[in-house]
Amino acid sequence: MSASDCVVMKEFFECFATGDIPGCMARMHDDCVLVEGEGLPHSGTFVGGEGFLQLVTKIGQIYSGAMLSEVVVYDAGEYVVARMIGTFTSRSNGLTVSQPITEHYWLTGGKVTRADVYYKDPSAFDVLAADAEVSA
Amino acid sequence: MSSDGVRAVSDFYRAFVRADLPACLALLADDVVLEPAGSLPYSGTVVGHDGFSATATTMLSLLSRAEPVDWVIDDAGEIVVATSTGTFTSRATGQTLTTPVVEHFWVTDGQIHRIDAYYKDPKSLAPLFDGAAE
Repeated sequence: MSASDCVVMKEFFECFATGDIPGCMARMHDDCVLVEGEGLPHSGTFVGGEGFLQLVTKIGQIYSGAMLSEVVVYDAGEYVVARMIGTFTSRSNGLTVSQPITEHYWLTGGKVTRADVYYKDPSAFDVLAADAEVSA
Repeated sequence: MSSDGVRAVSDFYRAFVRADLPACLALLADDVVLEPAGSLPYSGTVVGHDGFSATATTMLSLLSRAEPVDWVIDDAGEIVVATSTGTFTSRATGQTLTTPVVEHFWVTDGQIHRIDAYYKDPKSLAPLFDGAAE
């Protein structure tokens, strides 16, 4: 990766923080593959802009709040590494979970081609999803 | 970080695979902070050589194999990033399960000061610990 790729990812996270989903999608390739953490209410593999929209919609259905804070981005050579704190509030019961997340991003031509996401403790989300009903 | 950081983490992984605790400790700062992945019998932040040893002892009491396979270690500036396939075998049942693992290391002058570990799916390893006190 390069310093400019790190800038792209910082912009991506700024867009996400402000709810600028088109801004996020503008920084993703059409066939971008996003692999969420496992064992979460919003787990899954999401492909392309449509897939990203599905993920964002799913997150909106499950959580009344989903915020990423303390985002730090590093250039790891072949990919960009992001470290952050994710805070999620259940729409069904109002409970909140906050925990570290790390994400790896591969970029080509200044756009994300692949993302791989890891959560510190997916089991902590169980309490948030207990009463949630999400349409597929 | 630098190639020294990558070297220290590589040496640490080799020592860990050998279950060579003294060699692991020799690469850890006295005040090392270890933050394991969540929801495991050995989860929970620990500090120092005693903390690391206690976590390793718990792991080895439950697992006959707990090692990174096909690891790749990358210099990411302030941190070193290690990705691998975590491979774990239950001491009680012999069952082996795997999950992708990412670990972040902070290294200064060849000494590891902090390890922050993430498993892709810690829940999937639960069958290895059935009956184990958490």
